[in-house]
Amino acid sequence: MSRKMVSFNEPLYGEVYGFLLNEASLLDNNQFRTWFETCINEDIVYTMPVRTTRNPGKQAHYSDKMFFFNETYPTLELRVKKMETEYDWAEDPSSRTRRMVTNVRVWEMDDGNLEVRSYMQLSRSRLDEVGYQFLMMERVDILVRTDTGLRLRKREILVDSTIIGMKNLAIFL
Amino acid sequence: MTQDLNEVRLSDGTRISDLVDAEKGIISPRIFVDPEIYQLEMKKVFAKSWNFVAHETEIPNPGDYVTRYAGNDRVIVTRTEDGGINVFLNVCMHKGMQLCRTDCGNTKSFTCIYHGWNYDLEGTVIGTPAAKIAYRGLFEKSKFQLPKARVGVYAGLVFATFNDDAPSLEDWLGNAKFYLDVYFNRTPKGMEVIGEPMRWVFNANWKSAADNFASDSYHTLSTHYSMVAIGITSPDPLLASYGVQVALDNGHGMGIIPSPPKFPMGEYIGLPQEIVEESKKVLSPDQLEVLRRTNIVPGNLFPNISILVGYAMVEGKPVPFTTLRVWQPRGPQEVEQINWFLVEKEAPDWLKALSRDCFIQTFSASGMFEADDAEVFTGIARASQGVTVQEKLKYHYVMGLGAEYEPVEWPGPGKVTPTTYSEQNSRNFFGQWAKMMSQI
Repeated sequence: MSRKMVSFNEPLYGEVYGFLLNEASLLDNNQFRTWFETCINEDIVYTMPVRTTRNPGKQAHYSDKMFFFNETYPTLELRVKKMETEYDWAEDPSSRTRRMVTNVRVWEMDDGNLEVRSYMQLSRSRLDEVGYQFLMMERVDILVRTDTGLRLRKREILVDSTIIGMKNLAIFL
Repeated sequence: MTQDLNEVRLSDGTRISDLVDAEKGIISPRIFVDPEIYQLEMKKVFAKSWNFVAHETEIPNPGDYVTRYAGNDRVIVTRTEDGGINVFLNVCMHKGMQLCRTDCGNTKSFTCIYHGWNYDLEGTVIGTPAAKIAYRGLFEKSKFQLPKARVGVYAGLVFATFNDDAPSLEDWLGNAKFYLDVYFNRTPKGMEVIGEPMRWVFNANWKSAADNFASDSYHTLSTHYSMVAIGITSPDPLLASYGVQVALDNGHGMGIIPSPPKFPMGEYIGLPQEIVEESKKVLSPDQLEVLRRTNIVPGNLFPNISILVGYAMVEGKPVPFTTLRVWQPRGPQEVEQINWFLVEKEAPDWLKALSRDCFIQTFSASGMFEADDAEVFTGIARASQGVTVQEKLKYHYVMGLGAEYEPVEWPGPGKVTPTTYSEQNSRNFFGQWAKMMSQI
């Protein structure tokens, strides 16, 4: 499949960037159900492969067998349901998260979908911790145009750590 | 407790027996926080124990290696041409540079980047650039063999220790071997690790986590109540209490939880019949019966190797999964969790994938059960810091002490409590800990 880069000054670029910022805002504001209902397409594949340090050393090595997330629509919804219970102790009180989304590049694919690569820096602070834990990553997304707007059909989260510096990943990335 | 003048004392004169009365289950908060105790643990517990370093399926072919920890020593685990497994220190014998900086791979030898010294898969120096000239003919290669650990493999699990006085692995595991057969080696081909272990760090003491898996089913319906609320476990409010807790040799311990009586979730962990049939070729009748009665197994091999056999409900059917994790200490209040997923080699591909995904959803770093446990372990670390907490408070692992139980028929070894709502295994764990910590 071939793809054509969407230029930074095209209206479509702004539309895609806006989708990512809106998504980040929903998640930072704990609006998980709205995020799930408005941003996620029913054929979603949402993965975060485990990263290792290997030879050849200049290459990034992501597993094709083990994942921090390997989700489809029903399993993402199950996670949202957990967050909606009164017993979501890992995130109740909630972490304060801030998702900084940058370095966005967009390509239009032959089939009309959009491949989107973005950098994300997530900061996270809980309870009376001073300072923040950070997670840096690139996300490789496929967005699809639907009658209810752009939706996420695929997300691969390529994290910059081989040992995640957080107590859990009870948050969406 | 006898007054033993040869007992280890901390720098303020405190004895381990002042901090831990394992028989009564009275534990000082100090052991979860004190840096001096942490340093002592590295010597008295981890350097003396058998440490889990790999599963044999992670290094199937000659030249395969992984870099891991044995206690707080960095080690390289290799598979040699003859099919053997070696574990040696990951440090160059010249000036201490870390010999191998990658997590895993395949190689014929390891080359230190500092002066180019080359080591084979058994940690033997095989090449030293310009050494004859540089050392004026006074260099003896054989003096620089990397210290090798004793290696033991049981049920596919590779253990290592640098303690020449440690009992054999078989003796160290003791009666835990019966259960390792059932939960890690129940089919002719055995189990395999899928992918690489996932790793993450949280701020807690390793013992909070190890003890939880050894002994704590009581927390399930509180810490993990969200799982009941979203309907992925049985609604029986005592679901985690049924079955037995078995205290095993050398501080090891497990809980074996069956189907709740009112909501039978099936036998044999929900394994498909074809796998159960394979198990019948390998397990003894008693072991098969234990497997039949199993739905969930939390457990811990002393010191810090926890297991969980469980299942998740997918479209009304239980999907079993098996995970093993090491609580790798990085400080008195820092743990790296190294988390493996295993499945029978004989399992069909669809089950391997589904089982792995259920594990990811429940007990990975993003796992819906796992995440809530991290909140608890880190909370214990925060709450146990203060001077007054450490001097005036004790924690109580007294559940089951003095209780009377109906005798129960149980086809496996160990000291059996006929409910998993017990802290017997905590007392067993801390008893072993105190014994090792107290030895001069």
